[in-house]
Amino acid sequence: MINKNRKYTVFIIALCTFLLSAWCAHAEETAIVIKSQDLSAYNQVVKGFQDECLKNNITIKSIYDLDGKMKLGQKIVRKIKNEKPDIVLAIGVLAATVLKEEIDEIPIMFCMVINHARFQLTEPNITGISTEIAIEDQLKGFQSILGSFKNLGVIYDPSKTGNIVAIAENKIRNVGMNLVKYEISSSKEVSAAMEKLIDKIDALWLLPDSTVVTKQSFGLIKTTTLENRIPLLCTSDVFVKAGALASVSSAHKDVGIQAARLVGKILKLPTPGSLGIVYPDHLELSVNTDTAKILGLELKVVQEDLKINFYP
Amino acid sequence: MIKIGIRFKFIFFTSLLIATIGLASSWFFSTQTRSQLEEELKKRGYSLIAQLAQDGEVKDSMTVAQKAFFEEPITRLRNLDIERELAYWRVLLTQDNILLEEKEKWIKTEIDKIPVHKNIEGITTPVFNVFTTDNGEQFYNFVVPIHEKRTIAEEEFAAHFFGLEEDSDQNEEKLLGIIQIGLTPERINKKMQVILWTRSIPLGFIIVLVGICVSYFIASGVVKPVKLLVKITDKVASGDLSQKVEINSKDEIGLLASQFNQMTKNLKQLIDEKEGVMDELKNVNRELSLINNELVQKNEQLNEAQEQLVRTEKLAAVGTLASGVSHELRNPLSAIKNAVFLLKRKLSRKAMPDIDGKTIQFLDIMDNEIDRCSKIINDLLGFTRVSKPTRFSSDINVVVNEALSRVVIAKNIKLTKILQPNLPMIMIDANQIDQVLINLVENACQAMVDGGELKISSRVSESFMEIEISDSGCGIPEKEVKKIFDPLFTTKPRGTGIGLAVCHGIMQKHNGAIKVKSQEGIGTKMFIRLPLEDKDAGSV
Repeated sequence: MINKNRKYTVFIIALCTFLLSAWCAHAEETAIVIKSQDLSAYNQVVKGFQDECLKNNITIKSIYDLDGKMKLGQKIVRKIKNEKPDIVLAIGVLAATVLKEEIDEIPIMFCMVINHARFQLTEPNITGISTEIAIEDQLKGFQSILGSFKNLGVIYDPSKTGNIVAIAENKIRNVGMNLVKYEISSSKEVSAAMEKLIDKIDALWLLPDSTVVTKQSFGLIKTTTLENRIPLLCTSDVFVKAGALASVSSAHKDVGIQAARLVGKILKLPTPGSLGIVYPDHLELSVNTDTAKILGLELKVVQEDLKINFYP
Repeated sequence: MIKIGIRFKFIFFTSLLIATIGLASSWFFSTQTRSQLEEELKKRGYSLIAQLAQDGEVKDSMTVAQKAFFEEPITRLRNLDIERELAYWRVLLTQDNILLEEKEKWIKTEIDKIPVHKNIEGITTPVFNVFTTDNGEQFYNFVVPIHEKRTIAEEEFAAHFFGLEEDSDQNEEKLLGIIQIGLTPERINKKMQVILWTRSIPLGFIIVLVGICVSYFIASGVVKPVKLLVKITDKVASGDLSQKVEINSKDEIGLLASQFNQMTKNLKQLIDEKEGVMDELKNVNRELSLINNELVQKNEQLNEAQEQLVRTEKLAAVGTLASGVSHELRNPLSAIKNAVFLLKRKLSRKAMPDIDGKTIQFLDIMDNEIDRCSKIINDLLGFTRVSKPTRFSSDINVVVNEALSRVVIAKNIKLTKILQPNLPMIMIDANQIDQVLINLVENACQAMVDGGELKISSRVSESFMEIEISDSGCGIPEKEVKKIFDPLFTTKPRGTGIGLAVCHGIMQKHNGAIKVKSQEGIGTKMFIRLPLEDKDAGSV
């Protein structure tokens, strides 16, 4: 009798275990992370994503590194297709574009793609977190340390950041400011652009434009703005550390967290692409105090919803 | 000295200028062409080395340091070198590790003589330089660094944008090595030679030739009218002011010709006016000369009249004095003469002891001197008593002969008479004229102490009867000629200075004249001029 009971008990436990496992196996979401290269910023995104996935019962099946090489993408895509995750997080433009071309059944979420609009990442299975910050949020952050100002200068290559400038121009005009634009097509024109622009502006807005921002040109831009006591405003804290006055950007880890939180939402949608591209939900204001001192600014940040980082 | 004409100068300097411009143009054209070709060569070099640098196989070959893998990339590179300008290529993995170095066979310079680029670690962008090897070959050297490509450009920018401070080892691209290639400008040199001989030199030659021709025609066009102007100017300069330059062009030469014609015309007018004024001046001058002559004549006449007047006054004064003195001396002299005569007779009758021959001699002297004094007194009286001539119609030749008959002429004096026959009769006081003639003949004879020739001639001269008495005597000093008719002036040691003054007085009373021409040492000519018709004398 006892043995018989034991047998039933074991059977029931095994059945429950099986059923629980089956339920659990059915309920857990899986994800694969693919990053374009081994960058600190990308690694922070991965870390944020991993941490949040744990909290949200999302299993990260694999983390791949393209190591900057497109050729590797083919092999990795084959592996991803075999693994069949619920979603793939593509970090960086190389990963995003490789996946866009090769995968259309698995939802793809990208992040850390600078000026994503350039790469037409608009397939039904693709959504993402924008690297760009809404201009209104940027202006709030900049005005919190500068106060109001009228003329915001910008140097840009229309083929790279023309869309950003076009959107920003209207919004800036709506808040009563003036966007003073200067188009260039080569990084050699930065010097001339600065000369033409510097007397007409109250602050210079540095876009993530690879024609404008190079290793050589950034030094020139920084020096010129400092000499003319013009605040240099950016979209990456890297430039603030390098001497720009301020930037409004997202913390890389927060982007990973935000991505993990979006997984469930995305998977519930009939098509992930219908979510569109979302802005980062956590922003931080970075300020270089040395530069502020040179510019004679008294820092009185009153923007409470922004995390503030002071450098150096 | 060779004269260089304006045509030659114009052609020479214009040709020189055009030749200079031609040469400069050719030089500029050649330099520009060469510069352009060199620039093209540079572009081809950069293009070739860029192709090589971007060749994935090259990077792979450098990564595994496999020389053999370069065969295909180099073949592709040589195929791209259509112009056959690629001279050498070299691949360096490190400064001392040359993976590959080769050259084209037709390059004379050995590959090891071509300098290896230094400091390959310092190259970040393509490097270009030109060098010439020891054997004179020139190469355009291109060097480019080859980096291992890590990722796409956008990811590179992302790395830059998001920061690399924690992964700085990835920031620097790994340098695989450098590629060095050389291009030879031989083709450019040959092309330049072709351009030089087929374009630049012929073009320069044509420019110079055309320039000379053009300058020749221009010079001819300019010089021809100028030469015409010079020719006309010469004629005008020689006095032919009727010349006119026939140039009708509307340019500066035409204007010059027009101005020249106007100038000639004005000059002619001025010269005509000047000649007119000169003629008038000549006439005025002639009239002034005549007036001057008249004035001189009048002045002479005045002087003569003045002298006459002075002489007459002198004569009157002397006459008055002589009359008084003669009158007062005449009687005492007569008494003295009588006394001497009586004394001499008494002494001749009775010899006296104290009286010797000398006393008689002294008495003779006294007697002679008394006679002489009497003569002087008589002369003075005669002088003062020259009365108004009593005129009768007379033959002057007869008067002359009579006067000559009354004068004792020394034997050593040759008398020549040239008396014009059939002279008209004139109304004269024959005695007075005879006195004048005697006086003059005596004077002439006295002037020829050592002999000579005495000429007497008579003739009619204009409205006068003229008698000329000339001698070959000692003549009268010039300064004394004017004084000889003054009373009491004499050049003779025993003269009284009365004779010629009396003659002058007689001639005046006959409305005639007495004149003298004398040269010291040669002789003297005396002229007596008597009017053929004398109003005071009435008709003959």
